[in-house]
Amino acid sequence: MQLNKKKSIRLALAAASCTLLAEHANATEANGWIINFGTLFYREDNRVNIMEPMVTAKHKYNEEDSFTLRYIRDTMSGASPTGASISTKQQLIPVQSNTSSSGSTNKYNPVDPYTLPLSKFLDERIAVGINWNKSLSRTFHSILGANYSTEHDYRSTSGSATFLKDTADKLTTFTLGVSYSNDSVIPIGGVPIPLRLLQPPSIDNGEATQGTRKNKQVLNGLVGVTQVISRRVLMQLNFSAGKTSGYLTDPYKIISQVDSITGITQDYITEKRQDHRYRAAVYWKTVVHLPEDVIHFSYRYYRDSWAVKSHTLKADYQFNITNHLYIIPSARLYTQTRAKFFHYSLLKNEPIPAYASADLRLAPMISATAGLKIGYNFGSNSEISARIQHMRQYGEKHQAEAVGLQKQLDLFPTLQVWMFNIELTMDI
Amino acid sequence: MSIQIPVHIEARENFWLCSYTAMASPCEILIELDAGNKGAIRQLAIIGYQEAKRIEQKYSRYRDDNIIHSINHANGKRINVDDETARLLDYADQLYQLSDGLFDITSGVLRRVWHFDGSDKLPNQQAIDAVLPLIGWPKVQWNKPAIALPPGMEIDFGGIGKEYAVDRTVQLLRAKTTKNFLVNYGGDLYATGPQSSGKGWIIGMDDPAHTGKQALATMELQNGGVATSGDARRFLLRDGIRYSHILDPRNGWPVAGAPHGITVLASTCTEAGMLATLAMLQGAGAKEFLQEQDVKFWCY
Repeated sequence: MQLNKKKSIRLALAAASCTLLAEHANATEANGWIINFGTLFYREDNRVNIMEPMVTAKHKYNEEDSFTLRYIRDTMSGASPTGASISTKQQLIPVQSNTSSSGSTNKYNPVDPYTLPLSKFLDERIAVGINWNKSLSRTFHSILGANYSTEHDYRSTSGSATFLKDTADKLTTFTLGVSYSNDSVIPIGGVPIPLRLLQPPSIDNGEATQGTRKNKQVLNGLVGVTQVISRRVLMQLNFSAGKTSGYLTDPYKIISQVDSITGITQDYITEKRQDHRYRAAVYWKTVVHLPEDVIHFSYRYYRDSWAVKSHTLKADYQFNITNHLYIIPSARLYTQTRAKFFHYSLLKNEPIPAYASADLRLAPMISATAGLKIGYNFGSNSEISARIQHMRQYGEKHQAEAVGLQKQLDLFPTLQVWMFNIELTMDI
Repeated sequence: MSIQIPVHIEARENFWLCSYTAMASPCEILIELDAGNKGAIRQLAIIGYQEAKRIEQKYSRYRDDNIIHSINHANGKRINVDDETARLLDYADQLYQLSDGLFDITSGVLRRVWHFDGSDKLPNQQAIDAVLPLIGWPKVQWNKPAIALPPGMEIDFGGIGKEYAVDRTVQLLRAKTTKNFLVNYGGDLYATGPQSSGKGWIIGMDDPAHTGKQALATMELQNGGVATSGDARRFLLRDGIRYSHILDPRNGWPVAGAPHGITVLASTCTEAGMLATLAMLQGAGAKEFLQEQDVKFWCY
């Protein structure tokens, strides 16, 4: 024990010396505001466009205590997959009374052959948040957060608390966090009755909706440890678990019912998901400080009670070109398995299962992202940076479920996404 | 410029040599020749000089106009300190914890009873016992940004200041030149990298028994901090026992069996200095301590 302690002295001393010499620009800037302006442009080929301007303001009122205010405004437009399957034939999809489509009065939404059915949408989201960082002692810190966001058909209110405990030598930090969110879904046109046949309003003579509002709760917990391994290496290991319960169905998504021999779409029904989802994840991250550069590497394993398992690998390399200029190439690889009630489509002559969704986000997939960030810092906390990322999302090569003509189709067309970010941070 | 800044610049064969005096020590900066002309080098040297002087004035215990004087003479009152002083106090706190109380910035009051003048005059135990109650970092109330010392107690950063000044000077100069250089404040030094020839900087290690007369050894330093802790001529000799000036704050007596000098190479000058000091405080166990830390060191 004694020997171990002695061995760690050098490491602890190196960490302490580093803190002592940390360049806090000038010794008097403990009190001040750090303002960050950023905008994200997100574009899915032929689908979604999102523009997301964001402002955060962080006020440090001494060396360790601060609060942060955040304001985000998303403008989302474009078209997203309805869940209906791609087909070799022209499709006429009955317009749901509740789709958030832009005021179309058509009874049917025509879709060309070999085209993924999409529905247009336009929405705006406003989110505000506050974080309060408070050090309770030299080695014990807390972060309390509250967030609210609102869009046309969704509201979310959440709170979080995180506690960080350093050991006396500051080589180890333990993290404990909890968060809770209470959300309301207010689908346009009402909450659709699940797994119900879609028909245009003129023909439909039953009640298609059941109320106007549904709720959803998200509870999450996290325990983690961050350890200085050596002068150059830092590792973090987190375990998180959570539960989402309530209305988890997507009110706008539908599922095609196809003929079991030909594979041709016959009808469409609304979807239904399980009303609870238990989640667990392990996250491991390593930071390596080379003499000039910095490498980040992380891996995350996730699984939930819907049978979705995912692996995420991320790596980036920060080249410090000068004291002020850096570039960071990055790569991310993600794979996920299918949710247990995911189906590309259902067979018309078979009974409808208890839960079903054709949302491609629950389909098995692989996505690969490459990015490049360039940044220039011109002062202690002042920096300008730009980042571009390109992501490709691939579904299964051969969908085993496909019947008849579906076998000629790619039920999960490859998705391409471009993301562009600019950010300006200023210390005032 | 109306005020003459006492900085001397001369060109040597492979580098510019800048010299000045601060913190009662000869200070040198060696910079590669192609870092600029004499005027540009002088500007760099002035930055170093001003930083060394700033730290000296802010933290010298011999002045009555600085933060150390305010803290030491507050008579039990709380004093709010600036961020830099707070970081030094946090650092001192961590050193106290890491050394199990051997490194203690309140131990300076022992100088009232111990005078290391090479003589054989040992203090008597009563005199030592009288100052021991004034020692002990845990008695200090340090809650950033406020510090309060019990009346009669004192702190000083004498054990950290010179090494800290080296690292601070290096930081400031790094922002001004891309060339490599070496900063040497009274034997505590730091080199940012090899000279353009690819060779390191040659530094001599003094024999602490014959300071300044002959170099015990020379080494080539490419990159990193080097600091020395030693008793040079500061010791007492009585009945054949040499009492080093390294005092154990827990009993007020010199630690037994400490080597005459320890030089350590580490990633910063401050870290090297603290490793050398902590090793000295281990007394006869100094060498073993450093071996366990897996650092490059010289013990003599």
